[in-house]
Amino acid sequence: MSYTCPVCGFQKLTEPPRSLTGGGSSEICPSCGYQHGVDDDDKGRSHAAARDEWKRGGMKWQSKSAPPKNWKPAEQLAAVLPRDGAKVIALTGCTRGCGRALAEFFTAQGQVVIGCGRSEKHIAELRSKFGPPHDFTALDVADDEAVHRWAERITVTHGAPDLLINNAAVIAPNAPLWKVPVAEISATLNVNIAGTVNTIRHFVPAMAGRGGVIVNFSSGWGRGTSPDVAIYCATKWAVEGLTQALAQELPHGLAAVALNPGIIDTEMLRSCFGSGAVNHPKPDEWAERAGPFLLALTAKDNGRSLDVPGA
Amino acid sequence: MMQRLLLLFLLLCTACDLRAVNLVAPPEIAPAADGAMTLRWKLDSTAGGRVRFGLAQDRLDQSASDGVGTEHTFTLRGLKPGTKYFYSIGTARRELTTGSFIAGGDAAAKSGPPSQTDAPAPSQKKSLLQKITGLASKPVSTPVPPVVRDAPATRKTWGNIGSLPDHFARHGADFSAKSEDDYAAQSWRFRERAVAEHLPMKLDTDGTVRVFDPKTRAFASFNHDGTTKTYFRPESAGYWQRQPGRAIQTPPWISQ
Repeated sequence: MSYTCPVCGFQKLTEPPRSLTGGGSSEICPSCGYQHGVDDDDKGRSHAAARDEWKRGGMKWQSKSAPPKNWKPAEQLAAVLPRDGAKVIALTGCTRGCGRALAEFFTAQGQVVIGCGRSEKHIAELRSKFGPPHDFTALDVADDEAVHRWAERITVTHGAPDLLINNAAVIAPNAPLWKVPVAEISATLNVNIAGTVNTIRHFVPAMAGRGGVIVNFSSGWGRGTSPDVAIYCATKWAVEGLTQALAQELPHGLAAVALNPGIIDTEMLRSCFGSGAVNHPKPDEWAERAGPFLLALTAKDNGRSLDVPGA
Repeated sequence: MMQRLLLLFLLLCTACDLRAVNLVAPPEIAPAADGAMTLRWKLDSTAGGRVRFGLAQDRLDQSASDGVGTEHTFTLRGLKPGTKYFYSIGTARRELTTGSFIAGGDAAAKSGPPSQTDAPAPSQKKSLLQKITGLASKPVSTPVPPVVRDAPATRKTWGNIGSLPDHFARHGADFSAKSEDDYAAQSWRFRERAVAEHLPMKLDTDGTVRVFDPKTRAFASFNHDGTTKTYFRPESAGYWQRQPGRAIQTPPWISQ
């Protein structure tokens, strides 16, 4: 199996440039000479800067080994070049449900998706389907150290995101609060609140210099309540409050928005609604409405609590 | 159901343990150049090799490990001539035999049977010049110099041999390496030292092992089988902290 270099598009790397958890392969691309895990992690060279340098140098073969027969650098490069005006979108929880649907929508639109999710299996699938310039990493947003590493790396390789979408969330099985296992409570608090906080803390410093929008996924249960989902309600009310306060703290040019996605037929909804979930839109139908709405958000929306149209 | 599965798992674990690796013959101990001593042994199945030695039976404070195989050879250098050293050999998980030898001595060789500490048996090789004796000696506090093994052939230590010229061209100067082979050998010795000195190691989910020496700032990345992926000296602060993976004590290539 061979892999594509995200700098020059050479399609015969022997390893993925990044392991599923984000570790550099240490492989030196024979085409452009970029060493994954060294040029980025140590030298701080972005993919775009390295690409420009290679282009300025005449796109010459960099390895001491011989290039493949009929090697065509211009053709391989075209496959990894982001389209003009493409936004870099950091998206958490991209492996399932709404997150997965948004990843599909944005890639189809020619945006650059920087996704993360907990399932290595699903991250591997996304990588296989969407190669460079997209980037998918297996991590738990509740793990602050992992988020820090991810944000640092992405900021170097792709630059600060234009859009940070905090979509990752979990919900405990329906039950009155006092019957919810403590592990489920911790997981819900850690992913839904701490996870959102972690990505904001680690991406905002880089975003601050160039602008961008942070979208924190709220819920109808972030503005109302129901029985048997008290912890989930608590986390989504927390997201609303956190977003309002953050909006007052952010430097000029950045915006924080709380977004109620509406009711979508996801695994999460089925755990709450049971068979009644099928009466609601599928994630891909929803993404057709939510995607353009997200792309249209600007700094002027700072501090707003919004709903996806039709939600 | 869960209890049955657990019992089955425990039985499988026990069965694996019963099939543990053993020596097929007593270890050979022979003098080498410059006062060094060579320890060599053969196993009945593949496993990593480990030797620990020191000046007292209860303080084997020097160690070295190698890759997976049935034959293992270690050269212990910088020994004090005429001094008695105690040793333990085995795998990363299991001690197979212990004994002692006199560095630089010229007595006829004897060695202990597999898995027994103090049961000498006649050696089958007259060329062995060192004597393995029982374990009975007072602890001595003289420091023991580190173990230095000769690096195997580059094709055995470097993962993707076709990539070596590019890695050497880029990073060889970090270690004043004189050639591609010298660079590869240095990375292999770093790997050995990392285990002996318990340098920080991280295991990634794809099997990659990353190693860093905070004192020398040397960094290496190894494949799951212990072959080298790259070896260089990072310049940026926090490079090691940025590397993902679970902290480990023993790398996979010797944790057999």
